Amino acid sequence: MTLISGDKLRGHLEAMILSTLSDGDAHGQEILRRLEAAGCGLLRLKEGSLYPALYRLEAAGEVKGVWEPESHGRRGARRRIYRLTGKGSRKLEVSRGEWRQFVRILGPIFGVQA
Amino acid sequence: MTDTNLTQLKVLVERIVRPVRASLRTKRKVREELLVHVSGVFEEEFARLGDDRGALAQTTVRLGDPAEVTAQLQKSVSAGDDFRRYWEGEPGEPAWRTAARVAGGTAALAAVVLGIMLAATGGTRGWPLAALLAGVGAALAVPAYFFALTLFTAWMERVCHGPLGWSWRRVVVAAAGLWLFTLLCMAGANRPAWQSRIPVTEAMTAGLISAHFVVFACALGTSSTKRAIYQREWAGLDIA
Repeated sequence: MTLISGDKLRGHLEAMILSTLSDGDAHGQEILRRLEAAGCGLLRLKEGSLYPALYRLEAAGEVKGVWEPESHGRRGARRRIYRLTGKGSRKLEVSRGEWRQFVRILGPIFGVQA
Repeated sequence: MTDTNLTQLKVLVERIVRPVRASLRTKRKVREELLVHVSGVFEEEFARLGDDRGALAQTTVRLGDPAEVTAQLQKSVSAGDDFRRYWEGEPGEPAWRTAARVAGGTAALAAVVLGIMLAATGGTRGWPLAALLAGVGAALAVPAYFFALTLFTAWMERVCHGPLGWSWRRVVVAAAGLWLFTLLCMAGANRPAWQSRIPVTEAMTAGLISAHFVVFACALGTSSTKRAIYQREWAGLDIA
């Protein structure tokens, strides 16, 4: 199977992040790990794109980022742990609904059962 | 991870972060977060490939096109950050410019407070002339004081952490200057009450409060120095 990357993921990244965080708080690398695991290794994100998306979500109040208190030996650098907020959970539900509708409408056009 | 590897990873991060128009605080957050991320990716790739150069090349690929990430980061910077960026000023700007900005901000705040007080008491007619003059005088004096305080803070920063190194004599002169200046300002503000005689208790209290401003200026100078050192470290990376 071909990899899903770049443009095909654009527009869905924020909802995917919210969905990943609904499984529990996580830092950037862990979010990517969960996305890759959920995509059975077929999702290829440019990793730098994750953080602008996280900052947009944070500015919108849909996730909340908190610095780790300790750097755990990473030479002064600390990770930021992200948590889904109530607003983020509501946004995720809306996004899931939109996705179901998208698939329901486009599925028959592609000749694929939704 | 060797120091050289860490520097190379910092360069990767700085290529993305430096062109972003954002406050130092925002950039610092992004730098720290991206650095810990690329360090993790590098270690993963190094464990897989067993080779520094290969791991670095793979980390670069996984991070994506720096210009694209920069553009995405720029879009994620909030409008409120512009105000923070203005307030922080440019790195290495002259002290008088910082002082002018602080004075401007304080003047705006003082004008708003004065306006609220006037509005709450039914305008200028409700105020005796002396009280009105005192209010306007305070609204003008406070920004002037903060202008001078910022300059004193910059002076403290230079004498404590400047290129000439620590010297007790210069530190004592700067601290005494700031203490005396604050004390004189407080005496000026209390002039009507202190005209006939200077109450000892109040003068001692003013002296103690003034001393706190010296400590405050030292703390501010130290934190500003740390910020400047951090800024120099990242600005010194060659990202070409």
